[in-house]
Amino acid sequence: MKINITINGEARVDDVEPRTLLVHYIRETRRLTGTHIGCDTSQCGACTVLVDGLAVKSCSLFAVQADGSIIQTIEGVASDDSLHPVQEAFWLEHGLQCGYCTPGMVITLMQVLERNPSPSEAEVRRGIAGNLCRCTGYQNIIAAAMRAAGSSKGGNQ
Amino acid sequence: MTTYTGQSMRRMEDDRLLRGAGQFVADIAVPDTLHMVVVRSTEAHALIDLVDASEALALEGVVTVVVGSDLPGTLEVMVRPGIDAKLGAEHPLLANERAMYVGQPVALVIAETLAIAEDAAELVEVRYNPLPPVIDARESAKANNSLHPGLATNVVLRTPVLSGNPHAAFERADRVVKGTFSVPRVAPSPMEGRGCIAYYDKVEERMQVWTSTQASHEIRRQLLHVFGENAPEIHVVSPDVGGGFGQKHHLYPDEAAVVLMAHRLRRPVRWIESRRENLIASHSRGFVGDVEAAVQNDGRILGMRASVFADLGAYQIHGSFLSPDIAGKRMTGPYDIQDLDMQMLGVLTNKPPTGPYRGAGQPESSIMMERLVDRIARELDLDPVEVRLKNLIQPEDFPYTTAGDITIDSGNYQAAFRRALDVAEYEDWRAEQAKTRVRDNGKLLGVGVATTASGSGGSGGVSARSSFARVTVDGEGQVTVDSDVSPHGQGMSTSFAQLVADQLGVVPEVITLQTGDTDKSNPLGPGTGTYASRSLVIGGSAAHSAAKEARAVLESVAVQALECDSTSVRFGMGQAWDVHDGSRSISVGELAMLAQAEREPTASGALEIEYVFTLPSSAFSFAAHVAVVEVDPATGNVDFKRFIAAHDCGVAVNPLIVHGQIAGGIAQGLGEALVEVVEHDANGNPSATSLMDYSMFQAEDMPVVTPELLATPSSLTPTGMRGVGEAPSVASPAALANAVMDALAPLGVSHIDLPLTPERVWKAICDARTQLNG
Repeated sequence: MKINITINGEARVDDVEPRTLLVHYIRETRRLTGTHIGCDTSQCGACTVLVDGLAVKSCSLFAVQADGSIIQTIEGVASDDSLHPVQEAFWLEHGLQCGYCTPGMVITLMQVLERNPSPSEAEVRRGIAGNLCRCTGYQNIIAAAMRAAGSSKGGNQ
Repeated sequence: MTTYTGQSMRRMEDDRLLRGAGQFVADIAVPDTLHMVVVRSTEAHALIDLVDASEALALEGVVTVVVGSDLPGTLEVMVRPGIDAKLGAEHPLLANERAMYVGQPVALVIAETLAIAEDAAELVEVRYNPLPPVIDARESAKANNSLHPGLATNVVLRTPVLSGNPHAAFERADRVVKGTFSVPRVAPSPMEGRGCIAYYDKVEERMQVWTSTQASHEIRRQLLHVFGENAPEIHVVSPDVGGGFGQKHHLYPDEAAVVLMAHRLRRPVRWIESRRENLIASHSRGFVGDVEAAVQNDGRILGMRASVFADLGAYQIHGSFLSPDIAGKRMTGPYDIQDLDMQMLGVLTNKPPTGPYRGAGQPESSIMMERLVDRIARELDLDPVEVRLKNLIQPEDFPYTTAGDITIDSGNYQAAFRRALDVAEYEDWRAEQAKTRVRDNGKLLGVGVATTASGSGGSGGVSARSSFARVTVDGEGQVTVDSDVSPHGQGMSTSFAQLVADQLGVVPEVITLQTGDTDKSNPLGPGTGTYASRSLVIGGSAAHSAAKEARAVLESVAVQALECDSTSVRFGMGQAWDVHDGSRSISVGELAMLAQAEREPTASGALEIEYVFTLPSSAFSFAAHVAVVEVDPATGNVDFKRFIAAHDCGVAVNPLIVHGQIAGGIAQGLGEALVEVVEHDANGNPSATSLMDYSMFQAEDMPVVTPELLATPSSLTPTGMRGVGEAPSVASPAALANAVMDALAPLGVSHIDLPLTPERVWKAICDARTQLNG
């Protein structure tokens, strides 16, 4: 099936098999490999991208369902010379270790902070409940979110 | 001299990972690649009557279907000196004639696309003739015959520890305190599963292998073993690795199959593990033990006896014998207990193989030991803190040789323990607990402590304690460090750069760390990868030592170039200058070229210094954790009030990274104690096959961890560091288990098997109340 999807500002028409998951389309057809796969049951959130502004686990959609949509992946979040505030906060707070869950975490937190610019720590924890990290114990991810929100309420002293 | 070492520098590797520009194995695209899918056993124990691939082979795009008889061979298994291990259960690449666990590879389907391979795999018919499976390790140890025809029994490992005179200790004891403790099977579950891509390079005439591993050199060596006599040359590269935690230290049958098939087919072959496969293919822990201590009424432990069973699963992979061996030898933890009779058996069952997971035997022994210490305190009506203080190795007793014949060079365990208690406000919580117990307002407050010693750098032979480093300084002053250890989240690009920058007098930003490539880091020499909290302790010490040697070379040239004496030369910011004449300076790059002109030519033309560092013995760190929890008796739910983690990991290179390791290790340790478990039913079917039923910690489950760092320098490393990667996973499950059991003590609950899920806790509370009410 022919689909027309814009990713990080680049529109393209591709012919895909109907059973192709959006995440496979992003990774294999578009070769944007910053979107990761960490499970096969939509638990881990490593594949989270913004579809028409909404944080979506891209393994939970078929590519054909995203026909006509505008998608932002982790590759489209930063500019060449500067990181997004959420990415910058991850860097400052040591919010990543292996970096595998990081793209999904960053995208999810962008949405969490957009909807609630000054969340409590508990709201941040709830906001990333659908994103698993095995390295950090979430502590510094939460600290990064609080920093990005411009709040001094959480994280390491 | 330490401008950068000791600083909480933010990590140099983060920028590309944050931008999604990392390159993990699944991100690598090789043209013309074939895709492999593994057909796995659905039976825990069965004869395989037939594997019919005809329908699968008929599908367009299927290249081949490989069955057991097509791909003989077994994995190499490590047997350390001094252990009594029976070989004969090495993991075969594919099941042949019999399947031994659910998830065991039975056949491989290789096709032009992943979709075709997946479709074809469903068409492979395997006819099983089921046999009764063996599930329980204790039962298995008693059996008169073995699961494997070539073996006499299911006990394939005995690693006893006998020290002092335990019999006499028990004779003179005031009391004997006993416990039976289990440490369930868990799945290490790195967020990135395993994966491997391989092809035969016709120009270089060798296999090129990318694999998600902690130890590319080890994988290369183990692959050579699998190929056997006519092995090709093999080049292994580990790209970015999305977590390992011990699971990725070994070669697995499916990974070996990728390389063998790519060699045979002369086409690139790719296999990327699914989460389901990751959860059912290999596990860790799985111990149960009867432990008893001979104690005096004042809480002093005179001696111990233990009989522990380690469930090794149906086959061994490379490191399967490691954790039981370590658990046995380190049973006494940080305590001064010389009289020990430890029986440790490794036993076969119809389950997936086990291997090391963060802590490798030490969480297993610590959970048993720390639970026993708390039980001693309860039976003697002493504070658990008092019992620990009475038994911890004293600062003046170092170097101390344990009952397991391990020498610990130095430490100050009391100081770290007291710091943890102070920060936790331990006495206040005890007072609060006494009040709430009287009030009985429903929620049960529990306070738990654990004190643990964890090795770093391995306790094996010289090669396990050695690492190679090459420091290369070019004419521009750019520095490259090659190392045979490789990162999967530990931040080595930064910590290694900090160590090297201080030696060379350059800024860390000019230093690039190259790892994971068997071409670039002494493929023939030592180097076993990243595990056992060794990467910075051994690999970092090698880099530090190579850089120190390079500095000496640069300094001798600087003396000539600056025409001053050596005491006047200063290094910093990539320059050397005469302290008495600031106008005279020369760059580190120029010095490197001047020095290199007088040395043996190098391929790069740059100054190259190589160094092999051997750690004399394992550098033990110490951890004291304090957990304060509240248990809801109505639901069995455990809520955290506080979690304090004091770690003495010697001189920290980068405290920011150390804090990250502590929080992460605690998340895994607490998950293990609270929710994580892989159970197998009577038919050997695993309870957890997806992240829906394997419950790893989510953000809302994790308490706020307060880390406290102490820095008793190690005498074994040039900068005084000790490893820290595993220590938080060793201490935290024991502290949590003790806290929950402390909360439940007034109800008369003295034991619940881990993990302490709400259901188990609630049931134990109900049972205790039923008993109380007669």
